[in-house]
Amino acid sequence: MSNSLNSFFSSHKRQKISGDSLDQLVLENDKPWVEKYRPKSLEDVTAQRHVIKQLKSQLDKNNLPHLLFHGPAGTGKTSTILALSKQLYGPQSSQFWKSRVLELNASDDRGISIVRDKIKKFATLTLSNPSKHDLENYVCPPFKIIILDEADSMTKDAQAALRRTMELYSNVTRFVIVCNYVTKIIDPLKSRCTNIRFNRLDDSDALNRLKYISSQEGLSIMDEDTVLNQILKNSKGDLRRAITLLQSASKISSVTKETISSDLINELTGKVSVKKIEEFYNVMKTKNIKTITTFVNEEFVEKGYSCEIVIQQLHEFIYLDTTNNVFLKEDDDVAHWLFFETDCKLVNGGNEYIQLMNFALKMSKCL
Amino acid sequence: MSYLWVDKYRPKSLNELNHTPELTTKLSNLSADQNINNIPNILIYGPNGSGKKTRVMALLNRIYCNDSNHVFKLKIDVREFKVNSRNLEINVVSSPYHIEITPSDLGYSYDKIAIQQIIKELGSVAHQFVVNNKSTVKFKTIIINDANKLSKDAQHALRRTIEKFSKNIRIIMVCETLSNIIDPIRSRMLNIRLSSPSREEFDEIVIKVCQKENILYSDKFLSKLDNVCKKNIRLGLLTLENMAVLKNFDLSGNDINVMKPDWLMCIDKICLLAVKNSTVETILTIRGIFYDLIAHCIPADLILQRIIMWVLENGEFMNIKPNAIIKIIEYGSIYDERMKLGSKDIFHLEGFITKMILETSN
Repeated sequence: MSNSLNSFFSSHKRQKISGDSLDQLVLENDKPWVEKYRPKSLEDVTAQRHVIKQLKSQLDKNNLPHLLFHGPAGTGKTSTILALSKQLYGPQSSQFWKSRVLELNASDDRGISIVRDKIKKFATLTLSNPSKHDLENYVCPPFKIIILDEADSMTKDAQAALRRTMELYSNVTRFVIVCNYVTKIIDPLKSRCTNIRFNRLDDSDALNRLKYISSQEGLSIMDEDTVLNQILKNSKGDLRRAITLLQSASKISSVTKETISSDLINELTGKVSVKKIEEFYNVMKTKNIKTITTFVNEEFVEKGYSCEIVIQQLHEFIYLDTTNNVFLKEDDDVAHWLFFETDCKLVNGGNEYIQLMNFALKMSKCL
Repeated sequence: MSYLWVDKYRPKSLNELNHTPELTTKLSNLSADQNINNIPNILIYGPNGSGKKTRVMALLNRIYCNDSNHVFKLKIDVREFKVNSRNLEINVVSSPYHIEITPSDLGYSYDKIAIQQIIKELGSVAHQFVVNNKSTVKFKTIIINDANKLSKDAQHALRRTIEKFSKNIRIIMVCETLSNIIDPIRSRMLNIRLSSPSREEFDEIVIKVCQKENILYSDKFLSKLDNVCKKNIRLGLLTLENMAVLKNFDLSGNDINVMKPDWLMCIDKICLLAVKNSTVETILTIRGIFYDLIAHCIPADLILQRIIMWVLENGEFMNIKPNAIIKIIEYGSIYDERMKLGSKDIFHLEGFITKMILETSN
């Protein structure tokens, strides 16, 4: 965008954040793509057709049950509910939206006191009146929505405090609970909501979305399909990660006009190249303690690779990759156990160096 | 003003950075003029002393003041928070452009509160910095140190907060390993891996300092230094300065030995004791040394790591059987995990050393 515009704004010390449409445009460009390309309506949501269908039919009836969305990260749970609420009440910045939707996430304090005060207060509020403009453009159903994002991090007590609140004010308020693990939500809440599961995105849907973004942003990617597929492979069905990756890659190569290549993508996800892993495997076969430790030290520890990723990739290399002729001895269960054990120790906060060394040395015995 | 050499010769701009040039190009691409405002949040990780912080500061220097070093006008103050009638204090290093915190100092359950307070405070105000009368930077940066020590709670709290305030702030997390960072955070940030300098690059850095400070050096000294410091630049320069002052700026002699830090000597002593005399009294002596080390604020897992490094390096030399070495490492990994789960480090260190003595004695 024009420099003159920028300097015009900077001459004023303080600038209003929203309002002016030109201003909005500038802001829009500064947003992370994940935010910029969040779907604006239910039709926009790329995947999860069964969910969309269900929600739409509910919408037609001008009613909505309490909802519980669960599923892995980056599958569009938050996007869907935001898109839905935009369709119901208009844009997020409008007064009307604010009076009808309360969005709480893990960054807000959600102890039991908040449930008692803030949520209850909002739930009891009488409905605000939609303006004529709102009525014409949006659905404006006769209820408010409270979105509890990342609800897995709510305490059991806070969840329990919600129970009766949900029922008492159901005439004017709907709750939408969004979480990754449905097991972290207490049963009484689950039974009060319609549970909707979000599945991992199918590759073709995600690919289309990435292609759309790339064309909107005017990216020049050599061999687009391969690179985008590589991105998808690395993000394992997590669309948000895929989009962030795409943006980072394009940003990093923006000035030197490097083309975005698979190597760059690999590097950005912190992955070790497959060749290194193969080398690692062969080094472990030598069963020589000195050789193994020097290799691990030089190639992984000093290069800053995360131990977790090394182990994960080795696992893929041994068990999933069928192109190489890797086979383990009969006592395979030892190796399996080793993978599990090391991962567990790392999750418990184990020291990377010690764990990786232990892994490499013990693994070498299995090969 | 007198600085330590580590600080005196710390590169201040992206152009001065010494190693891994590929990464430097990437960073300068990131901070290029055009649409600077959509720079992503950054998660930078790499081994100790590889220059993560230096790189981050150089990046900020480029972004905010085009290498004119205004970012380095730092001031330190203490911020107070009130939580349930308890006062929390956190040290905050800040310049006009950024703010740097180490929330893990506060301990497990309070880091979340500190992070939220600071991010909300900065994120709810619009910022504007004019660079070179041309472009406007519209965000302030928050650097979070030791991000891998953040509690899971604090990391969860960051998730949506990062997105919500992305208009006004950017977050740069600095950490040693990715393992303890939860997936949702990793997927929201640009992950940058920084490796240690290669042997040549490390030597180059040391030589540069030597030349500027007029120190005589020999290749032998360099390789010894390299051996002790394991490519950790900070440790390397500190040791160099130490040695130079001790030896009157002449390090070219053939018989020069690079001093190890005290605590490393202690660890060597522990290992030697454990391997050589396997008696109950040894355990008692070692316990004394452990207490000493812990009292000097050497983290217990570092002690364990060093002992294991020692075993791996000197195991063959000390005639420990390969099988015994593997066993020792295995015990190391077990006690390491237990140490993290438990609360009294010393028990686990002692447990480990006892196992090690048992393994080496038969």
